Amino acid sequence: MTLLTIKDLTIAYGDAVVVEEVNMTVEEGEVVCLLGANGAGKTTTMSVLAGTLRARSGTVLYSGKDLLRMKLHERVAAGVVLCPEGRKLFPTLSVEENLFLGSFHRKARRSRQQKLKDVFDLFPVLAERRYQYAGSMSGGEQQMLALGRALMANPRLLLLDEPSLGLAPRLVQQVFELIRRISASRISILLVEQNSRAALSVASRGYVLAAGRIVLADTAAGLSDTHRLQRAFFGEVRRDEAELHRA
Amino acid sequence: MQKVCLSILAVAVAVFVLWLPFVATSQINDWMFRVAMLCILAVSWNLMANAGAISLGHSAFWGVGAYAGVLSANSLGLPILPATGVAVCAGAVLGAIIALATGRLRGVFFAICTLALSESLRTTALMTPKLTGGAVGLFLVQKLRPGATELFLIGTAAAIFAVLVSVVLAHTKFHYACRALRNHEGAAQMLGIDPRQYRLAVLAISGALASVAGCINAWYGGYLDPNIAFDLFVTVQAQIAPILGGLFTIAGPVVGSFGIVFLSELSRIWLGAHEGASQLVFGLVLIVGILFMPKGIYGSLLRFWARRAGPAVAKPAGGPATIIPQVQP
Amino acid sequence: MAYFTQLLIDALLLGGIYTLMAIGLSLSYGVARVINFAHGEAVMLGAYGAFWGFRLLGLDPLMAIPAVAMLGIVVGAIVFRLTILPILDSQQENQILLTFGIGLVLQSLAVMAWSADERATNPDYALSSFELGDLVVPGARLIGCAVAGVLVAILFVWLKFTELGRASRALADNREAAGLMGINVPAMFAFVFGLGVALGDTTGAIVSFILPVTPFMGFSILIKSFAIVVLGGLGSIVGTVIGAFVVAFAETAVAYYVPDGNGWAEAVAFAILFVVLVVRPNGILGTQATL
Repeated sequence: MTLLTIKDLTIAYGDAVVVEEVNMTVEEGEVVCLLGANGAGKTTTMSVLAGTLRARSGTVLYSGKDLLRMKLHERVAAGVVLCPEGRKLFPTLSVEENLFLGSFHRKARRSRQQKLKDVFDLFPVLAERRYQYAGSMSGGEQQMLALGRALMANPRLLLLDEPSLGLAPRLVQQVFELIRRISASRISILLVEQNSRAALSVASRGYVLAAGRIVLADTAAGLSDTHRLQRAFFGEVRRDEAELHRA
Repeated sequence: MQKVCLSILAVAVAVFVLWLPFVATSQINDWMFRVAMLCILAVSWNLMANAGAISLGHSAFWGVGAYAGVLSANSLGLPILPATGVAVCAGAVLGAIIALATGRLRGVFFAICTLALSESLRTTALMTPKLTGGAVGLFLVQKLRPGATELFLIGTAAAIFAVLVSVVLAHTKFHYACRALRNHEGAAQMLGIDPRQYRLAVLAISGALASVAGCINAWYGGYLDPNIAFDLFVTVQAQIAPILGGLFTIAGPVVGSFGIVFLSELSRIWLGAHEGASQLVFGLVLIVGILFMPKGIYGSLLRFWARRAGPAVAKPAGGPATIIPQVQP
Repeated sequence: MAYFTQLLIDALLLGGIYTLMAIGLSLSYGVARVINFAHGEAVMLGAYGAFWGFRLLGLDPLMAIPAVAMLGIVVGAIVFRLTILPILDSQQENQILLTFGIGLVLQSLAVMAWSADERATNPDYALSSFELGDLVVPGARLIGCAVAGVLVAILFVWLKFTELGRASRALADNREAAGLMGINVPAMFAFVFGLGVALGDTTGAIVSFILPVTPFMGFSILIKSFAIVVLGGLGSIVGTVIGAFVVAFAETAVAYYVPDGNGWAEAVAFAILFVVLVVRPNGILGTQATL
């Protein structure tokens, strides 16, 4: 079942078009990655999906519903949860309080204690630092807290924006191992990453965004050709050359 | 073309108002005097606001100028023009002090500071009767008081001077520096503009202007007490006039001053001499102005003319139209 | 020595009341980033509410608190939704002028409706006082401080342990992230603003038997509240508590040791404000000032 269908999505700031007629899908249970260089429009796309930014035109269908019409807090309740770029934790609140806030909306509150246990199982270091201020934790721990916080909201579609940002390579490996485990619990994931290798190690499919346009869409295996990928990043793959899969 | 028309109009108006004191009735002269004083206040407030400093205590400058003017007459026997000179210095110094205290802090700190300043100056004036006469007040030495016509002339000339000051400032690098400061201090700094220097200059000049108004007004009235000197009403009018007329423009404060005196008389007729009635009207004007009338009367006229001239300026995208816009076209 | 202890007692009792007075302002700013220049008028309206309740219904001013607080939350939220929310994201100067305008309107309405005469409520305990040896503890202030203390404590508990309280703290930390948690941000802003107003007008009900109630009382309350909040640090609730006691102490000390000290109260608040702005604009516990 196709969980998410993005059709001809266009996003603009004033006269500047940042994302142009993008088409993407995410099937239930999949991990799909969105790759591209800095400034290609990846985070902008995620923001629109999460609801912090408005789109100029296009439609997004989520489980049959019109996502773009839903208000920000309604999307979370519907299971679309963003783990934002740069983590954006609540620094003066403790780890536990950050996690509680993840499950703020009514439906998630009911399963809070259970989810808390699950998150602590997945990220034991968070259990250790339960009462510590989020602001005083290391980069890797913060990323785990951000992931855990997103999980507390009972997501059906998890939007991950640059989880590897600012992390040492060993930590990146750890984080992506955890992402694999999250995916195994049947949560669909749309992953935005600059680190293509890490992303392709967990994703089954991927899209490449360059200057706001999708220039490549393929299976993870198909995208593993680094040379082709590089060319796509820098916009050297022309539209007619691109193999655009119709899912 | 527009500029030439406006300049001719401005000169005509100036000549006309300078002629009025000699021929008009005392009622009209009284109104014009109020307009003139408000005009100086409005220009002063507008200047500060232009540099990102929202003054909620303009009465502080007004009152300081008033006391400087009256005290220098009573204690030093100075006639009106030198006394006004003292007021200028007092106002400039006060402005400079606030500038140094609030440094590069955000607008809200400046606003709080001016608000607190005006109240504590009022308190200080009340508590130092030896200097200020306290609650009983102070009378201006009778023999130094100039005739009515002379006073009206001085008032009008001062108002014209104030407007000229704002014209000059608007055409110098000063103006762009202030606008840059208002919009983005960081960027302004990168262009080599030292925010502190400009802020200091703006606050000193504005303060001086407002003090001049307070001084001349005190000489007109002949009597001063702390509540009159540091009246909240002064602050309110100083804000509303430029907002009504058109913030950040040159003619705005002038247009607004006429508007406010007019409104004031109107509310007196409609709502009676109810204490608080005109303040209510002004408070509502302020609220409505901020929410719905971003450009004021004059500003809206400017926009109307600009549209007549054809689409030249691109509209900035999105965002609510507010009285203090994010980006000035 | 007893003189100083008396001063201490007076200052502490005043500090408690000042905490309640300023904390609403601090909350509004910390969570919603709204500087409410009509805060003094909120206190004033609360005082009048208690007064009319007392005068017309014989209601004890403390009994008026729940009603006054409820009204504060509701009216505050509505005013926020209608006037402040539309300009929330524009330059701060707009907020300053708008809330200042609202304060003016409220003050004028009060003058026109109720005249400028001084009023006060006079519950029995307002006239009592205790004696501890040489020291006198005025009943009105003692009760006022006690009630204020309880309310502030409730606020702290609410902030720390309830869902909405936690959401408020999250909003204060990172507004964008809070939205991503499914928190309805505009609604929370309106609610917290209303809460700030409620804390203000509750203070008004309490001071109705301590200070004279006039339409103009708001101004000096606003200035003192600002001095407290800036001293404590904009955005820090705990800082506000500290600031309140410092300002209370300074005012009381001036009243005791400076001839005619009572009259200088306003100037004390300003002096503190001025010194803080020059020396350490962040205040004691603040986190952002120069921005």
